[in-house]
Amino acid sequence: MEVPASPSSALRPFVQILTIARLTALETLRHPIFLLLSLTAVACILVVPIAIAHELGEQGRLARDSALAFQFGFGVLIAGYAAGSSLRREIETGILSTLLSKNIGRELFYGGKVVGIGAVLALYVLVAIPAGLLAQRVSPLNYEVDTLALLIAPAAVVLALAGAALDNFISRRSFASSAMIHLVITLSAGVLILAAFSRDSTPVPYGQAIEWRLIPAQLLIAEALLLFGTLCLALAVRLKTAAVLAGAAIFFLLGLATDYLLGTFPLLRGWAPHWQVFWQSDALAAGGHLSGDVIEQVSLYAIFYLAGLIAVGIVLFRHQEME
Amino acid sequence: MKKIVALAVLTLRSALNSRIVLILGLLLTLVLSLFPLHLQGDGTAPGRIRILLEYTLGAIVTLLSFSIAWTACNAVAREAADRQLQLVLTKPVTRLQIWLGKWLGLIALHSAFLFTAGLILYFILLGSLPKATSPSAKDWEWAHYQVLNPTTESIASALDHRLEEARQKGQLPSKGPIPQRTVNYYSLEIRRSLATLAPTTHFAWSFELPPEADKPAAPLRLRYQFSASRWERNPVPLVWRFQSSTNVPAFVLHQTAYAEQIWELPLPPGLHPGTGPLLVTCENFATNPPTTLIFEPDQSIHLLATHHDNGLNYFRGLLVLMARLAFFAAVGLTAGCLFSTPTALFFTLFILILLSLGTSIREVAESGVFTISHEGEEIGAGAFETPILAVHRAANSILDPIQSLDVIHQLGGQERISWADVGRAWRLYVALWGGIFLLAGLAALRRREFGKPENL
Amino acid sequence: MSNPEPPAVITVDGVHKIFRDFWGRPKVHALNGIHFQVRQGRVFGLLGPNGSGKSTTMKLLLGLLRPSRGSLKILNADPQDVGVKSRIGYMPEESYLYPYLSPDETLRLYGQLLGLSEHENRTRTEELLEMIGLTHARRRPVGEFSKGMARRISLAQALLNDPELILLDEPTAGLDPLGCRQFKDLILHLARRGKTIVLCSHLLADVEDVCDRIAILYNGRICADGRMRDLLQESRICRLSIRQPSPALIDELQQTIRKTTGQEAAIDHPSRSLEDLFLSAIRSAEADQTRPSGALPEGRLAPFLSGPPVSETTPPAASPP
Repeated sequence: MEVPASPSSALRPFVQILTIARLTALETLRHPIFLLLSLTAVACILVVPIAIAHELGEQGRLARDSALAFQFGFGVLIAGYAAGSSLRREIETGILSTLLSKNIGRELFYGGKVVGIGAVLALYVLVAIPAGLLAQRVSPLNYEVDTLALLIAPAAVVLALAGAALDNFISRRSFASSAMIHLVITLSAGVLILAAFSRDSTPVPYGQAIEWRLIPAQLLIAEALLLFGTLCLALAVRLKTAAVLAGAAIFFLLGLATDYLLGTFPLLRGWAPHWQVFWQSDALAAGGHLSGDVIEQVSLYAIFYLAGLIAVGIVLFRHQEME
Repeated sequence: MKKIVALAVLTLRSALNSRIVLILGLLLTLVLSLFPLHLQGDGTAPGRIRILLEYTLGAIVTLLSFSIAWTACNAVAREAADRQLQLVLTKPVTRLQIWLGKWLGLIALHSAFLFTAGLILYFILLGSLPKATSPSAKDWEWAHYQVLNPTTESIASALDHRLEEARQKGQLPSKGPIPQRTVNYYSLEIRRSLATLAPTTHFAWSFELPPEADKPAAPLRLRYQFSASRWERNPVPLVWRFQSSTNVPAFVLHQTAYAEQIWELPLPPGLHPGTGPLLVTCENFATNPPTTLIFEPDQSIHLLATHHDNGLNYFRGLLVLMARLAFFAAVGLTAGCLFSTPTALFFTLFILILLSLGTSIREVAESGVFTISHEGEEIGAGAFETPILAVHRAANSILDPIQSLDVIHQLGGQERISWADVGRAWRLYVALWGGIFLLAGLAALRRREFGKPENL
Repeated sequence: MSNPEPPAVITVDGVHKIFRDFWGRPKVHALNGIHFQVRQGRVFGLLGPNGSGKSTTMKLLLGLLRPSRGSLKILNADPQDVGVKSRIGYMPEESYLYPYLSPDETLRLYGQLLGLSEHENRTRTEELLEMIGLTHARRRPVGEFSKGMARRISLAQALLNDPELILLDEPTAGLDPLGCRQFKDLILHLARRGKTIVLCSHLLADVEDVCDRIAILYNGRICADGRMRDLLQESRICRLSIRQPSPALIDELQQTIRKTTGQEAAIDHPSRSLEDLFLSAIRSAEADQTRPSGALPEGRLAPFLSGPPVSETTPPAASPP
């Protein structure tokens, strides 16, 4: 009998990490709360600029800021929940003991979890990015309404949900995870269609009608979310979900008001996360673009902070006894 | 009843056992110790009262709202997932008893937190008020007021006339119904023009006073604010006349006031003998330089009836807040009957956030998504406006009565919270909305099958 | 004259249970039209492999689930009737207890829910704690207990109201052999007191020891039911019972049988074991149906487990420590 070749020992750690990551991502995506939070984020990103359009003259900025703010706000909730619940639940139900009884090191397991949470957040960001781009078009400019955008944006959401329902009916695949995939497709398709038309629905050279410069700012927010998710994962090694969320909330607020709260403690101030560096909306004002230097510096900051958080998480996890 | 109490105690134990109560206690301690230290106010007693109550009590109630939402969702959803509820349901206990037991347990726990934190805050407030300049000043600094609004002027005929004029000028379509927001716009314009006082002109507001107002124990104060037609901040000479419809001679007060500032005038007791409205007339004597004064309708003039039972007023405020927490517990429990824990929490927090958006929803519902330009031209969202407005109006019709019970703001503004307000809060939050959520929760519990194989 | 049959405590009549998906399409047929009755004072065993519908039947009897078709009566009432639950005791398959309550508090809580008076509640709690041998641990939270200890509290709460009908789901799971024996003695004792007991279990020896009637469920259908004695009896073979027969009589009987049938007769009355009965019922049911689940379907082993013993294969390559 032919025995299938096992992955070579050099590749095995990667296969193990990917297996754990896939498991984590699938488990999180299957849960309706992930879809609910993502849908609410999309709804807020699209609706808020319309609802408060008359408040200020700067509709473009308003749509941009609210898109980034909602992407961050709901992303924080998703990152906190996904990281907190997945590891904690596995510890509490004893699933983790079974998994760790296999020949997988704790470091690799933890790495797999980080990658899994990263994958979940990546999917969320893939939904938030086209939603943010659509919001720029949906938002009325000088009291002029973009009728095509106002038709396409809600249609994209409805189509995604209908597609997921059909998928669930035919293939019995989980509605929640299918809806997320469909949202990525339909919202992106919406952006690609609108890229060919101006605000008054006349054809323009392809791509001109979309503010692509928002994407780098959205990606920086995605980096902040990954940091936050990794932080929650490290907390979840020792704390229950409620405590993880409370701890993460404190950390989050600390990061928002680092200078104000920790101004007199330089050591603490240096170690606390600076969420402000990920918020680069101001650079986009008056038609500006994010410079490559800023993106590079912020990303380097994120990478180092992420490495630190993963290291702390691994140390905690290595010493964690399975109840 | 014994079964309900047993379930209430069980819920209490369950919540106490979870970390959430520990975290809540810790956060409340932090709020109570840090906020009063950092929030100083403007140095006056009313300023201190406003900032301390609005921020600290606001933070306490926000924390308690989150906590009650969390524990309520867990009280059913978590127990159903962990199957403890299955065993309870095999005993002779009705779904109603389960729901009520859990609800009462949650209210008992959070009310204990609310009243303890509230009491501590009250004593912090008492101990940290700035010293009054005189005993009489202390009397009015540390008091609360019943805010009386003038009766709305009848403007029906003026409005009809104005709308007809707008139709003839082509500002409005010559036929067909006029949108409500356009009517509102013109109504406000007329009311604003009525209360616009050119030099040497006057305007009278009429106040219907409740029987307990204007007694020696509760003397009246006039609170007003106006805008002026001149940018320079010149003092404006005003004459105020207070006259009841009976034959009591008018009480006249001369005052020089600045625009854009809140002014308060203490009035002598006995201005109003008890029947008919009290007319308050303002005459503008700003002739040099000539200045026109604008009193914004509904916002610029109030009579305040003074009361001194602050402790009781504060207690009534806490009772209203307790009703609000009871409402959140009902929402959380019913959400827990319908969904699993995180989804239930999402649903509950959604309702909580919706409530906090009440003012914006009201604005949109009343004035539309887009406004009227300065030329009186309507700018709307065409076909999309109708559904957006319909959603906002539906939400507003539910939220508006609840929204008017902004008790933290009232306490901060030293406004009187009457027993009628407490009754209204309990009727609305507990009897009406609590009842609706109870029925929904019971229907969900009855329909729900427990012990299904997982993932079905 | 024969004794009249005692009244039926449980009547299950053509019950189907179908679990459906979001669209209302059938997903799992848990029960396919089962019928049975349990009469007062009987110990009734519900047997079947995993996924055969035993627990679903229990939950239908308790009103936790509702039948898709058919009807159930329990103590002459609908299982959804809250009042009837004061006459029932239920011990679930796993201990669904509040982990932060102590045994004492747990029993007090269920006593209050059962509507016992304060005095009754206190006395019964004491007596039950004594009976299950947990008086010494009465103040410790249940969450810290071993599975066996938790099962005993689970049993105690089921008996708190001295119920007429006791439903036991896998009652001996997690108990040590001594605990199992004590448990079976308790069931027999309760049956002697006229209690009706329904138990479902995988442990056939336990069922055989205590049940007088059984039903074997397979794939949501009852494939065998009746009195334990009847089902276990080999009816084609006869046993002649004579009080104190002399050796000469036995010899004579054997010779007669040998002469008439040409067979050597064992004058005995053999019984099948319950396990034999169970397996034969399942095999005959399997002949025309697909097996839904189970640890080892048809006794097959996974291919990688059915190779030669490890010592006969090539030793694995040495790996670094």
